[in-house]
Amino acid sequence: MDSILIVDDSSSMRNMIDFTLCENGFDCIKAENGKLGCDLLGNKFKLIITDLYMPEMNGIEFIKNIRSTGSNKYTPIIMLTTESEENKKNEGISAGASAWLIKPFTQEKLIETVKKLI
Amino acid sequence: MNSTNKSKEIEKMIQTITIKENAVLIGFSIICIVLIILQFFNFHVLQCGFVLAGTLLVITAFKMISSKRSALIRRIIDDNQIEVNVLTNQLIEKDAQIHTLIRNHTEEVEQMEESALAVIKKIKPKIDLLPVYSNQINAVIQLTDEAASSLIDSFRVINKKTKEHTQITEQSFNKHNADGADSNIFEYNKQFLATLMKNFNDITGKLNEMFSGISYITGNLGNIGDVFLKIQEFQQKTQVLSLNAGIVAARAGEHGKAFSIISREIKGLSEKIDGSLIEINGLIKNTIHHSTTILSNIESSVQENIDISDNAEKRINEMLTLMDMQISSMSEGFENFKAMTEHISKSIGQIVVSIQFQDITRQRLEHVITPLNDLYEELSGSYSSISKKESVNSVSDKGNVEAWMNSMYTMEHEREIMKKVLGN
Repeated sequence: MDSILIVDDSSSMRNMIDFTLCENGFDCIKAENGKLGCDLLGNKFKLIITDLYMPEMNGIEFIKNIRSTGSNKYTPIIMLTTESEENKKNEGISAGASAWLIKPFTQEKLIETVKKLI
Repeated sequence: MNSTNKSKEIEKMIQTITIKENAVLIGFSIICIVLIILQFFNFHVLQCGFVLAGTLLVITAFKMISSKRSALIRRIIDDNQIEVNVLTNQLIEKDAQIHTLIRNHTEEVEQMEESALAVIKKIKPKIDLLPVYSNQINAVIQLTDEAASSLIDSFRVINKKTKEHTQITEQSFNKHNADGADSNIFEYNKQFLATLMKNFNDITGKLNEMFSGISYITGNLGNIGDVFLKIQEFQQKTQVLSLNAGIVAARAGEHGKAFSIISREIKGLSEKIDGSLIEINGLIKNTIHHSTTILSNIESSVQENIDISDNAEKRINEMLTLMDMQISSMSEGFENFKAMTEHISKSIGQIVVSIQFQDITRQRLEHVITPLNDLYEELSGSYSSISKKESVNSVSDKGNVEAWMNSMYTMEHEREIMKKVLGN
Protein backbone atom coordinates (compact mmCIF):
# COMPACT_ATOMS: atom_id res chain seq x y z
CA MET A 1 0.00 0.00 0.00
CA ASP A 2 1.33 3.38 -1.01
CA SER A 3 -0.53 5.58 1.47
CA ILE A 4 -0.02 7.54 4.70
CA LEU A 5 -1.63 6.50 8.00
CA ILE A 6 -3.00 9.35 10.15
CA VAL A 7 -3.77 8.55 13.80
CA ASP A 8 -5.39 11.28 15.91
CA ASP A 9 -8.36 11.35 18.30
CA SER A 10 -9.45 14.73 16.97
CA SER A 11 -11.54 14.34 13.82
CA SER A 12 -10.76 17.92 12.74
CA MET A 13 -7.02 17.24 12.98
CA ARG A 14 -7.36 13.99 11.04
CA ASN A 15 -9.39 15.74 8.39
CA MET A 16 -7.03 18.72 8.25
CA ILE A 17 -3.95 16.54 7.71
CA ASP A 18 -5.83 14.38 5.19
CA PHE A 19 -6.95 17.52 3.31
CA THR A 20 -3.43 18.97 3.20
CA LEU A 21 -1.79 15.73 2.11
CA CYS A 22 -4.47 14.90 -0.49
CA GLU A 23 -4.04 18.38 -1.98
CA ASN A 24 -0.40 17.49 -2.45
CA GLY A 25 -1.07 14.18 -4.12
CA PHE A 26 -0.83 11.77 -1.18
CA ASP A 27 -3.33 9.06 -0.37
CA CYS A 28 -4.35 8.82 3.30
CA ILE A 29 -5.99 6.38 5.71
CA LYS A 30 -7.28 7.59 9.10
CA ALA A 31 -7.63 6.06 12.59
CA GLU A 32 -9.05 7.52 15.83
CA ASN A 33 -6.45 6.22 18.29
CA GLY A 34 -3.38 4.02 18.65
CA LYS A 35 -5.40 0.87 19.19
CA LEU A 36 -7.40 1.33 15.98
CA GLY A 37 -4.15 2.35 14.27
CA CYS A 38 -2.61 -0.99 15.31
CA ASP A 39 -5.51 -2.80 13.63
CA LEU A 40 -4.41 -1.26 10.32
CA LEU A 41 -0.74 -2.17 10.66
CA GLY A 42 -1.20 -5.28 8.55
CA ASN A 43 -0.84 -2.90 5.61
CA LYS A 44 2.50 -1.42 4.63
CA PHE A 45 2.45 2.38 4.84
CA LYS A 46 4.77 4.94 3.27
CA LEU A 47 4.59 7.09 6.38
CA ILE A 48 2.72 7.19 9.70
CA ILE A 49 1.60 10.40 11.40
CA THR A 50 0.42 10.09 15.00
CA ASP A 51 -0.75 12.37 17.81
CA LEU A 52 0.89 12.04 21.26
CA TYR A 53 -2.07 12.15 23.63
CA MET A 54 -4.91 9.83 22.66
CA PRO A 55 -7.39 7.65 24.55
CA GLU A 56 -7.08 3.84 24.50
CA MET A 57 -3.42 3.92 23.37
CA ASN A 58 -1.23 7.01 23.30
CA GLY A 59 1.31 7.94 20.63
CA ILE A 60 4.39 6.61 22.47
CA GLU A 61 2.84 3.18 23.05
CA PHE A 62 1.62 3.13 19.44
CA ILE A 63 5.13 3.88 18.13
CA LYS A 64 6.64 1.18 20.36
CA ASN A 65 4.07 -1.22 18.97
CA ILE A 66 4.97 -0.31 15.38
CA ARG A 67 8.70 -0.61 16.03
CA SER A 68 8.44 -3.94 17.83
CA THR A 69 7.40 -6.02 14.82
CA GLY A 70 5.54 -6.10 11.53
CA SER A 71 5.81 -4.69 8.05
CA ASN A 72 5.99 -1.08 9.29
CA LYS A 73 8.95 -1.67 11.59
CA TYR A 74 11.11 0.71 9.54
CA THR A 75 8.33 3.05 8.30
CA PRO A 76 9.09 6.71 9.12
CA ILE A 77 6.85 8.17 11.84
CA ILE A 78 5.95 11.80 12.51
CA MET A 79 4.68 12.62 15.98
CA LEU A 80 2.29 15.56 16.39
CA THR A 81 1.84 17.32 19.70
CA THR A 82 1.37 20.58 21.50
CA GLU A 83 4.22 19.59 23.84
CA SER A 84 7.38 21.60 23.38
CA GLU A 85 9.24 20.07 26.34
CA GLU A 86 12.53 18.48 25.40
CA ASN A 87 12.04 15.41 27.60
CA LYS A 88 8.73 14.58 25.90
CA LYS A 89 10.39 14.97 22.55
CA ASN A 90 13.24 12.72 23.63
CA GLU A 91 10.74 10.16 24.89
CA GLY A 92 9.10 10.12 21.45
CA ILE A 93 12.41 9.91 19.62
CA SER A 94 13.58 7.10 21.93
CA ALA A 95 10.36 5.20 21.24
CA GLY A 96 11.13 5.41 17.52
CA ALA A 97 9.61 8.62 16.13
CA SER A 98 11.47 9.90 13.05
CA ALA A 99 10.31 13.51 13.34
CA TRP A 100 8.41 15.75 15.72
CA LEU A 101 5.91 18.47 14.75
CA ILE A 102 4.61 20.94 17.30
CA LYS A 103 1.07 22.28 16.78
CA PRO A 104 0.25 24.69 15.30
CA PHE A 105 2.31 24.00 12.17
CA THR A 106 1.97 25.38 8.66
CA GLN A 107 0.98 23.47 5.52
CA GLU A 108 4.48 24.03 4.16
CA LYS A 109 6.11 22.66 7.31
CA LEU A 110 3.95 19.52 7.22
CA ILE A 111 4.59 18.90 3.53
CA GLU A 112 8.31 19.62 3.89
CA THR A 113 8.59 17.13 6.79
CA VAL A 114 6.59 14.49 4.94
CA LYS A 115 8.63 14.86 1.74
CA LYS A 116 11.87 14.72 3.69
CA LEU A 117 10.91 11.36 5.21
CA ILE A 118 9.40 9.66 2.16
CA MET B 1 24.01 24.45 91.45
CA ASN B 2 23.56 23.70 87.84
CA SER B 3 23.79 20.27 86.19
CA THR B 4 27.26 20.92 84.71
CA ASN B 5 28.81 21.60 88.12
CA LYS B 6 27.03 18.58 89.51
CA SER B 7 28.42 16.38 86.80
CA LYS B 8 31.94 17.64 87.49
CA GLU B 9 31.61 17.02 91.22
CA ILE B 10 30.26 13.49 90.65
CA GLU B 11 33.06 12.80 88.20
CA LYS B 12 35.60 13.97 90.81
CA MET B 13 34.04 11.70 93.45
CA ILE B 14 34.16 8.72 91.07
CA GLN B 15 37.83 9.45 90.41
CA THR B 16 38.56 9.53 94.17
CA ILE B 17 36.75 6.20 94.68
CA THR B 18 38.66 4.68 91.75
CA ILE B 19 41.99 5.85 93.18
CA LYS B 20 41.06 4.36 96.57
CA GLU B 21 39.96 1.12 94.94
CA ASN B 22 43.28 0.97 93.06
CA ALA B 23 45.17 1.64 96.33
CA VAL B 24 43.31 -1.23 98.04
CA LEU B 25 44.12 -3.52 95.11
CA ILE B 26 47.80 -2.51 95.26
CA GLY B 27 47.81 -3.09 99.08
CA PHE B 28 46.14 -6.46 98.57
CA SER B 29 48.72 -7.38 95.98
CA ILE B 30 51.59 -6.40 98.34
CA ILE B 31 50.03 -8.55 101.10
CA CYS B 32 49.82 -11.48 98.70
CA ILE B 33 53.49 -11.07 97.69
CA VAL B 34 54.53 -10.83 101.37
CA LEU B 35 52.53 -13.99 102.11
CA ILE B 36 54.30 -15.85 99.28
CA ILE B 37 57.67 -14.74 100.66
CA LEU B 38 56.75 -15.77 104.23
CA GLN B 39 55.46 -19.11 102.86
CA PHE B 40 58.80 -19.57 101.12
CA PHE B 41 60.75 -18.97 104.37
CA ASN B 42 58.24 -20.92 106.56
CA PHE B 43 57.37 -18.03 108.89
CA HIS B 44 53.92 -19.45 109.90
CA VAL B 45 53.14 -17.30 112.96
CA LEU B 46 54.03 -14.14 111.18
CA GLN B 47 52.11 -15.39 108.18
CA CYS B 48 48.93 -15.91 110.16
CA GLY B 49 49.22 -12.53 111.83
CA PHE B 50 49.86 -10.87 108.56
CA VAL B 51 46.92 -12.60 106.89
CA LEU B 52 44.64 -11.53 109.71
CA ALA B 53 45.86 -7.95 109.67
CA GLY B 54 45.71 -7.84 105.84
CA THR B 55 42.21 -9.25 105.78
CA LEU B 56 41.00 -6.73 108.33
CA LEU B 57 42.68 -3.95 106.42
CA VAL B 58 41.10 -5.01 103.09
CA ILE B 59 37.63 -5.41 104.65
CA THR B 60 37.90 -2.00 106.27
CA ALA B 61 39.07 -0.48 103.02
CA PHE B 62 36.22 -2.12 101.02
CA LYS B 63 33.72 -1.03 103.65
CA MET B 64 34.96 2.54 103.39
CA ILE B 65 34.86 2.44 99.63
CA SER B 66 31.43 0.86 99.68
CA SER B 67 30.06 3.52 102.03
CA LYS B 68 31.59 6.18 99.76
CA ARG B 69 29.99 4.57 96.68
CA SER B 70 26.62 4.33 98.44
CA ALA B 71 26.89 7.96 99.43
CA LEU B 72 27.73 8.83 95.90
CA ILE B 73 24.83 6.83 94.46
CA ARG B 74 22.52 8.35 97.02
CA ARG B 75 23.80 11.76 96.10
CA ILE B 76 23.19 11.05 92.36
CA ILE B 77 19.73 9.69 93.08
CA ASP B 78 18.90 12.67 95.23
CA ASP B 79 20.16 15.09 92.64
CA ASN B 80 18.27 13.32 89.84
CA GLN B 81 15.16 13.13 91.95
CA ILE B 82 15.32 16.87 92.35
CA GLU B 83 15.67 17.29 88.61
CA VAL B 84 12.91 14.76 87.95
CA ASN B 85 10.68 16.63 90.35
CA VAL B 86 11.47 19.90 88.63
CA LEU B 87 10.83 18.37 85.23
CA THR B 88 7.65 16.68 86.42
CA ASN B 89 6.41 20.00 87.71
CA GLN B 90 7.31 21.59 84.41
CA LEU B 91 5.54 18.80 82.57
CA ILE B 92 2.44 19.17 84.69
CA GLU B 93 2.53 22.88 84.03
CA LYS B 94 3.01 22.31 80.29
CA ASP B 95 0.30 19.66 80.29
CA ALA B 96 -2.05 22.14 81.86
CA GLN B 97 -1.08 24.71 79.29
CA ILE B 98 -1.55 22.17 76.48
CA HIS B 99 -4.89 21.17 77.83
CA THR B 100 -5.91 24.80 77.91
CA LEU B 101 -4.65 25.24 74.37
CA ILE B 102 -6.39 22.07 73.20
CA ARG B 103 -9.58 23.20 74.83
CA ASN B 104 -9.25 26.59 73.16
CA HIS B 105 -8.31 25.02 69.83
CA THR B 106 -11.09 22.49 70.05
CA GLU B 107 -13.48 25.33 70.46
CA GLU B 108 -11.87 27.10 67.52
CA VAL B 109 -11.90 23.91 65.45
CA GLU B 110 -15.52 23.36 66.35
CA GLN B 111 -16.29 26.90 65.35
CA MET B 112 -14.32 26.42 62.13
CA GLU B 113 -16.07 23.13 61.45
CA GLU B 114 -19.38 24.85 61.99
CA SER B 115 -18.32 27.61 59.62
CA ALA B 116 -16.96 25.08 57.10
CA LEU B 117 -20.16 23.11 57.37
CA ALA B 118 -22.17 26.23 56.80
CA VAL B 119 -20.01 27.05 53.77
CA ILE B 120 -20.22 23.51 52.47
CA LYS B 121 -23.99 23.52 53.00
CA LYS B 122 -24.09 26.58 50.82
CA ILE B 123 -21.65 25.50 48.15
CA LYS B 124 -22.47 21.78 48.03
CA PRO B 125 -25.10 22.10 45.30
CA LYS B 126 -22.61 24.16 43.33
CA ILE B 127 -19.89 21.56 43.91
CA ASP B 128 -22.34 19.01 42.53
CA LEU B 129 -22.55 21.14 39.41
CA LEU B 130 -18.83 20.92 38.68
CA PRO B 131 -19.38 17.74 36.60
CA VAL B 132 -22.11 19.64 34.74
CA TYR B 133 -19.57 22.31 33.80
CA SER B 134 -17.01 19.66 32.82
CA ASN B 135 -19.55 17.83 30.71
CA GLN B 136 -20.75 21.06 29.13
CA ILE B 137 -17.15 21.90 28.17
CA ASN B 138 -16.60 18.35 26.87
CA ALA B 139 -19.78 18.59 24.82
CA VAL B 140 -18.66 21.95 23.42
CA ILE B 141 -15.24 20.44 22.59
CA GLN B 142 -16.90 17.55 20.80
CA LEU B 143 -19.31 19.80 18.92
CA THR B 144 -16.51 22.17 17.95
CA ASP B 145 -14.42 19.25 16.77
CA GLU B 146 -17.29 17.93 14.67
CA ALA B 147 -18.01 21.43 13.33
CA ALA B 148 -14.34 21.97 12.47
CA SER B 149 -14.22 18.59 10.77
CA SER B 150 -17.38 19.37 8.83
CA LEU B 151 -15.92 22.77 7.92
CA ILE B 152 -12.87 21.04 6.47
CA ASP B 153 -15.15 18.73 4.47
CA SER B 154 -16.98 21.78 3.11
CA PHE B 155 -13.70 23.45 2.24
CA ARG B 156 -12.62 20.24 0.56
CA VAL B 157 -15.76 20.37 -1.62
CA ILE B 158 -15.29 24.11 -2.34
CA ASN B 159 -11.68 23.53 -3.29
CA LYS B 160 -12.58 20.62 -5.53
CA LYS B 161 -15.41 22.55 -7.20
CA THR B 162 -13.23 25.62 -7.70
CA LYS B 163 -10.59 23.48 -9.39
CA GLU B 164 -13.22 21.76 -11.50
CA HIS B 165 -14.60 25.15 -12.60
CA THR B 166 -11.14 26.27 -13.61
CA GLN B 167 -10.64 23.04 -15.53
CA ILE B 168 -14.03 23.37 -17.29
CA THR B 169 -13.31 27.02 -18.16
CA GLU B 170 -9.90 26.04 -19.48
CA GLN B 171 -11.44 23.22 -21.53
CA SER B 172 -14.10 25.61 -22.91
CA PHE B 173 -11.53 28.24 -23.65
CA ASN B 174 -9.12 25.88 -25.33
CA LYS B 175 -10.09 23.72 -28.28
CA HIS B 176 -8.18 20.64 -29.18
CA ASN B 177 -7.29 20.93 -32.88
CA ALA B 178 -7.11 18.00 -35.28
CA ASP B 179 -3.33 18.25 -35.41
CA GLY B 180 -3.22 17.81 -31.63
CA ALA B 181 -2.07 21.35 -30.87
CA ASP B 182 -4.00 23.27 -28.24
CA SER B 183 -5.41 26.63 -29.15
CA ASN B 184 -8.27 28.63 -27.75
CA ILE B 185 -11.72 28.70 -29.32
CA PHE B 186 -11.34 32.31 -30.43
CA GLU B 187 -8.15 31.48 -32.22
CA TYR B 188 -10.00 28.60 -33.86
CA ASN B 189 -12.87 30.90 -34.91
CA LYS B 190 -10.38 33.43 -36.20
CA GLN B 191 -8.76 30.80 -38.37
CA PHE B 192 -12.20 29.63 -39.47
CA LEU B 193 -13.19 33.16 -40.53
CA ALA B 194 -9.91 33.59 -42.39
CA THR B 195 -10.60 30.31 -44.22
CA LEU B 196 -14.15 31.42 -44.91
CA MET B 197 -12.85 34.69 -46.34
CA LYS B 198 -10.36 32.84 -48.53
CA ASN B 199 -13.10 30.48 -49.76
CA PHE B 200 -15.28 33.47 -50.53
CA ASN B 201 -12.52 35.06 -52.57
CA ASP B 202 -11.96 31.73 -54.29
CA ILE B 203 -15.65 31.58 -55.22
CA THR B 204 -15.47 35.12 -56.63
CA GLY B 205 -12.39 34.06 -58.62
CA LYS B 206 -14.24 31.02 -59.91
CA LEU B 207 -17.21 33.20 -60.90
CA ASN B 208 -14.83 35.48 -62.77
CA GLU B 209 -13.39 32.46 -64.52
CA MET B 210 -16.91 31.32 -65.40
CA PHE B 211 -17.70 34.82 -66.70
CA SER B 212 -14.61 34.72 -68.89
CA GLY B 213 -15.50 31.23 -70.11
CA ILE B 214 -19.08 32.18 -71.01
CA SER B 215 -17.81 35.42 -72.67
CA TYR B 216 -15.48 33.26 -74.72
CA ILE B 217 -18.35 30.93 -75.65
CA THR B 218 -20.56 33.92 -76.56
CA GLY B 219 -17.68 35.32 -78.61
CA ASN B 220 -17.37 31.98 -80.39
CA LEU B 221 -21.08 31.97 -81.03
CA GLY B 222 -20.56 35.34 -82.77
CA ASN B 223 -17.88 33.71 -84.86
CA ILE B 224 -20.35 30.89 -85.71
CA GLY B 225 -22.73 33.66 -86.90
CA ASP B 226 -20.04 34.85 -89.34
CA VAL B 227 -19.60 31.27 -90.58
CA PHE B 228 -23.39 31.04 -90.82
CA LEU B 229 -23.49 34.18 -93.03
CA LYS B 230 -20.86 32.66 -95.29
CA ILE B 231 -22.89 29.41 -95.50
CA GLN B 232 -26.04 31.50 -96.21
CA GLU B 233 -24.15 33.37 -98.91
CA PHE B 234 -22.98 30.02 -100.32
CA GLN B 235 -26.60 28.68 -100.14
CA GLN B 236 -27.94 31.75 -101.96
CA LYS B 237 -25.29 31.33 -104.64
CA THR B 238 -26.22 27.60 -104.88
CA GLN B 239 -29.89 28.61 -105.26
CA VAL B 240 -29.00 31.07 -108.04
CA LEU B 241 -26.79 28.43 -109.60
CA SER B 242 -29.67 25.91 -109.42
CA LEU B 243 -32.07 28.43 -111.01
CA ASN B 244 -29.59 29.10 -113.82
CA ALA B 245 -29.04 25.39 -114.26
CA GLY B 246 -32.83 24.91 -114.56
CA ILE B 247 -33.05 27.62 -117.25
CA VAL B 248 -30.09 26.06 -119.09
CA ALA B 249 -31.68 22.60 -118.84
CA ALA B 250 -35.03 23.93 -120.20
CA ARG B 251 -33.25 25.49 -123.13
CA ALA B 252 -31.47 22.23 -123.87
CA GLY B 253 -34.83 20.43 -124.14
CA GLU B 254 -34.63 16.67 -124.20
CA HIS B 255 -30.84 16.71 -123.78
CA GLY B 256 -31.06 18.78 -120.73
CA LYS B 257 -33.54 16.49 -118.84
CA ALA B 258 -30.85 14.81 -116.70
CA PHE B 259 -29.28 18.14 -115.96
CA SER B 260 -32.74 19.46 -115.15
CA ILE B 261 -33.10 16.60 -112.54
CA ILE B 262 -29.68 17.51 -110.95
CA SER B 263 -30.70 21.15 -111.02
CA ARG B 264 -33.93 20.33 -109.10
CA GLU B 265 -32.01 18.18 -106.63
CA ILE B 266 -29.54 21.03 -106.02
CA LYS B 267 -32.48 23.39 -105.59
CA GLY B 268 -34.07 20.92 -103.09
CA LEU B 269 -30.77 20.66 -101.15
CA SER B 270 -30.41 24.41 -101.24
CA GLU B 271 -33.90 24.83 -99.83
CA LYS B 272 -33.17 22.25 -97.09
CA ILE B 273 -29.89 24.06 -96.28
CA ASP B 274 -31.85 27.27 -96.14
CA GLY B 275 -34.33 25.69 -93.70
CA SER B 276 -31.47 24.34 -91.59
CA LEU B 277 -29.71 27.67 -91.73
CA ILE B 278 -32.87 29.44 -90.54
CA GLU B 279 -33.14 26.89 -87.72
CA ILE B 280 -29.41 27.20 -86.78
CA ASN B 281 -29.67 30.97 -86.97
CA GLY B 282 -32.63 30.80 -84.58
CA LEU B 283 -30.70 28.53 -82.19
CA ILE B 284 -27.58 30.71 -82.32
CA LYS B 285 -29.60 33.82 -81.71
CA ASN B 286 -31.40 32.12 -78.88
CA THR B 287 -28.11 30.85 -77.37
CA ILE B 288 -26.49 34.25 -77.70
CA HIS B 289 -29.53 35.81 -76.06
CA HIS B 290 -29.40 33.36 -73.16
CA SER B 291 -25.62 33.61 -72.89
CA THR B 292 -25.88 37.37 -72.78
CA THR B 293 -28.52 37.11 -70.05
CA ILE B 294 -26.32 34.63 -68.13
CA LEU B 295 -23.28 36.81 -68.65
CA SER B 296 -25.21 39.81 -67.46
CA ASN B 297 -26.40 37.85 -64.40
CA ILE B 298 -22.90 36.48 -63.73
CA GLU B 299 -21.44 39.92 -64.18
CA SER B 300 -23.91 41.41 -61.73
CA SER B 301 -23.37 38.42 -59.35
CA VAL B 302 -19.61 38.78 -59.58
CA GLN B 303 -19.89 42.48 -58.95
CA GLU B 304 -22.31 41.84 -56.12
CA ASN B 305 -20.01 39.11 -54.82
CA ILE B 306 -17.04 41.42 -55.02
CA ASP B 307 -18.97 44.07 -53.12
CA ILE B 308 -20.13 41.53 -50.55
CA SER B 309 -16.64 40.07 -50.40
CA ASP B 310 -15.10 43.50 -49.90
CA ASN B 311 -17.68 44.29 -47.27
CA ALA B 312 -17.29 40.86 -45.65
CA GLU B 313 -13.52 41.17 -45.67
CA LYS B 314 -13.79 44.54 -44.05
CA ARG B 315 -16.25 43.23 -41.48
CA ILE B 316 -14.27 40.06 -40.91
CA ASN B 317 -11.10 42.08 -40.44
CA GLU B 318 -12.92 44.27 -37.96
CA MET B 319 -14.24 41.14 -36.28
CA LEU B 320 -10.79 39.60 -36.24
CA THR B 321 -9.36 42.75 -34.71
CA LEU B 322 -12.12 42.72 -32.12
CA MET B 323 -11.61 39.02 -31.55
CA ASP B 324 -7.90 39.59 -31.11
CA MET B 325 -8.68 42.16 -28.50
CA GLN B 326 -11.21 39.88 -26.86
CA ILE B 327 -8.84 36.95 -27.01
CA SER B 328 -6.20 39.04 -25.35
CA SER B 329 -8.67 40.36 -22.79
CA MET B 330 -10.17 36.94 -22.11
CA SER B 331 -6.79 35.33 -21.97
CA GLU B 332 -5.73 37.90 -19.42
CA GLY B 333 -9.04 37.39 -17.59
CA PHE B 334 -8.58 33.65 -17.63
CA GLU B 335 -5.04 33.94 -16.29
CA ASN B 336 -6.40 36.19 -13.53
CA PHE B 337 -9.17 33.67 -12.89
CA LYS B 338 -6.62 30.87 -12.65
CA ALA B 339 -4.43 32.93 -10.35
CA MET B 340 -7.44 33.78 -8.19
CA THR B 341 -8.47 30.13 -8.06
CA GLU B 342 -4.97 29.16 -6.98
CA HIS B 343 -5.04 31.93 -4.40
CA ILE B 344 -8.44 30.75 -3.11
CA SER B 345 -7.17 27.19 -3.00
CA LYS B 346 -4.09 28.27 -1.05
CA SER B 347 -6.18 30.41 1.29
CA ILE B 348 -8.53 27.50 1.89
CA GLY B 349 -5.50 25.36 2.69
CA GLN B 350 -4.31 27.94 5.19
CA ILE B 351 -7.78 28.21 6.75
CA VAL B 352 -7.95 24.45 7.04
CA VAL B 353 -4.53 24.30 8.68
CA SER B 354 -5.52 27.07 11.09
CA ILE B 355 -8.36 24.81 12.30
CA GLN B 356 -5.73 22.91 14.29
CA PHE B 357 -6.14 25.73 16.81
CA GLN B 358 -9.39 23.97 17.68
CA ASP B 359 -7.36 20.93 18.71
CA ILE B 360 -4.97 23.09 20.73
CA THR B 361 -7.95 24.78 22.41
CA ARG B 362 -9.41 21.34 23.11
CA GLN B 363 -6.23 20.23 24.84
CA ARG B 364 -6.05 23.45 26.84
CA LEU B 365 -9.67 23.00 27.92
CA GLU B 366 -8.89 19.42 28.90
CA HIS B 367 -6.09 20.81 31.04
CA VAL B 368 -8.78 22.88 32.79
CA ILE B 369 -11.33 20.08 33.04
CA THR B 370 -8.93 17.54 34.59
CA PRO B 371 -8.07 19.71 37.65
CA LEU B 372 -11.74 20.72 37.82
CA ASN B 373 -12.70 17.05 38.11
CA ASP B 374 -9.93 16.50 40.67
CA LEU B 375 -11.25 19.46 42.64
CA TYR B 376 -14.73 17.98 42.50
CA GLU B 377 -13.44 14.62 43.81
CA GLU B 378 -11.55 16.37 46.58
CA LEU B 379 -14.47 18.57 47.58
CA SER B 380 -16.86 15.63 47.43
CA GLY B 381 -14.48 13.64 49.66
CA SER B 382 -14.28 16.49 52.13
CA TYR B 383 -18.01 16.87 52.08
CA SER B 384 -18.49 13.14 52.71
CA SER B 385 -16.16 13.19 55.72
CA ILE B 386 -17.89 16.22 57.21
CA SER B 387 -21.39 15.11 56.36
CA LYS B 388 -20.79 11.92 58.38
CA LYS B 389 -20.75 14.09 61.48
CA GLU B 390 -23.83 16.03 60.58
CA SER B 391 -26.41 15.59 57.90
CA VAL B 392 -26.23 18.41 55.40
CA ASN B 393 -29.60 19.42 54.21
CA SER B 394 -29.14 21.41 51.04
CA VAL B 395 -32.26 20.53 49.14
CA SER B 396 -33.51 24.06 49.02
CA ASP B 397 -30.10 25.38 47.94
CA LYS B 398 -29.82 22.66 45.32
CA GLY B 399 -33.25 23.57 44.08
CA ASN B 400 -32.22 27.21 43.79
CA VAL B 401 -29.04 26.31 41.94
CA GLU B 402 -30.91 24.08 39.55
CA ALA B 403 -33.35 26.87 38.90
CA TRP B 404 -30.38 29.13 38.22
CA MET B 405 -28.84 26.51 35.92
CA ASN B 406 -32.12 26.16 34.08
CA SER B 407 -32.20 29.86 33.48
CA MET B 408 -28.57 29.83 32.33
CA TYR B 409 -28.62 26.75 30.08
CA THR B 410 -31.27 27.73 27.59
CA MET B 411 -30.20 25.37 24.83
CA GLU B 412 -31.82 21.95 24.64
CA HIS B 413 -28.47 20.15 24.34
CA GLU B 414 -27.14 21.98 27.39
CA ARG B 415 -30.21 21.05 29.40
CA GLU B 416 -29.87 17.41 28.36
CA ILE B 417 -26.28 17.29 29.61
CA MET B 418 -27.22 19.05 32.85
CA LYS B 419 -30.11 16.65 33.54
CA LYS B 420 -27.98 13.64 32.68
CA VAL B 421 -25.24 14.68 35.12
CA LEU B 422 -27.63 15.68 37.87
CA GLY B 423 -29.52 12.43 37.41
CA ASN B 424 -32.88 14.09 36.74
